[in-house]
Amino acid sequence: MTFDIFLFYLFSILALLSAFCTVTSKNPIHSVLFLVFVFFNTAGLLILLGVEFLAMLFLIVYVGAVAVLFLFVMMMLNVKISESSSAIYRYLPIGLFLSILFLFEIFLIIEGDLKSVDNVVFIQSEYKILQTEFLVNTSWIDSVISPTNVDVIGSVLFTYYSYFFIMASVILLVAMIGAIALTLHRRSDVRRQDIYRQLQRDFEGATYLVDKKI
Amino acid sequence: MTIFLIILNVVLKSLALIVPLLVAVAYLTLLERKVMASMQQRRGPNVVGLFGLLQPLADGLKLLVKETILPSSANTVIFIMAPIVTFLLALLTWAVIPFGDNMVLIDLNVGVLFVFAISSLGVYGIITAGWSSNSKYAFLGALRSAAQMVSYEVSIGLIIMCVLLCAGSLNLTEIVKAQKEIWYCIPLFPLFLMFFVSA
Repeated sequence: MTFDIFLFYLFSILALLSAFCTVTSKNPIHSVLFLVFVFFNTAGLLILLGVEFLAMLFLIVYVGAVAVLFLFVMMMLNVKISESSSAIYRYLPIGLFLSILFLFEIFLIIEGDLKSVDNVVFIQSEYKILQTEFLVNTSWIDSVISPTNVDVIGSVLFTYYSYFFIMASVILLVAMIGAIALTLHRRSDVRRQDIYRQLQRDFEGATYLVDKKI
Repeated sequence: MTIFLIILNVVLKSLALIVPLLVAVAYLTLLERKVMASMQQRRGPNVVGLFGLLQPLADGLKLLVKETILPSSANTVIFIMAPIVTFLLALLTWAVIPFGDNMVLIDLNVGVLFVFAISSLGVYGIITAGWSSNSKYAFLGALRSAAQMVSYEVSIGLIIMCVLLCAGSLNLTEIVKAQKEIWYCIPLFPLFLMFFVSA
């Protein structure tokens, strides 16, 4: 138990420190690498919470895909190494506003969660009393069926939240089509192959006489 | 005392995994050099030891005592970190590979995803190595290699998903046990071919 708490403090301290370094470091590449470290520590925290599936998805999606693209763009664009300190103070008000808003939301969530956790603890204790008084044996269902993370998420996602799932997939599809449509810029002054027309040609249409006065 | 024993257990298990792995890799390089030499009608390494069998150890010793070169314009921390990261990630995947019944270092419930995540992290070692040396050619090579590694990930993921659907679990031990009747590469032969090309 104490080892878990030690790990929790380790991960959270490292995450906070590297998040701070992400904002303050002069070199943008270092910023991205610190951001990757933040993702790592957050994945560690998620594993401590017991949601290893989400932690692995976090690693695959954010660290494996998004941050790699960040790194690509940062390395290939020649970003200025350091900005002047006045630029940092210019963004201070809006940053402060956003962080206070975020803190407020977090407090809302924490309060709701704590209440529900209290309820759960109460119900569990009642259940324990029931068990010890009426059902002497252990609960056989728990000992037989131990669903993994993936099972639970799948069984909820594809039944109760199927509409949200489909909606999310449609949003992703729209984003993909949008990205393709942005790059699909056909210039009219460039000669290009039209495969359909090339395949449609036959002997009758291929050769024809031109009326030309010499 | 118990903590000491636990740590000793973990260290011994890891060593029992890593040392044979590294020795196997060393001798596979020797095999590769021998095969390549015979293809080009040469003898290959045959001086050190019997049939050159001690050549990998000599190579390792040479690499250990070589002088470390740090380019003066390189980003030193990342330059040193990049190969360490690559080596660490290459070894980390072996932690979830089952070698037999209960012969696995960590029996993760999300073993396949773990392997996938670690292999997608391998890009970082390559790309930071290319960038930190502060040379355009090294950086271009790193970009090419990284783009290749990233691009095949999607197809590998989709193919592995089919195997997961057949096995009904993300646990590698469970997947191995699900192939008790028949290897999956026989009913999923087209996928096997595609995976072979992608990997």
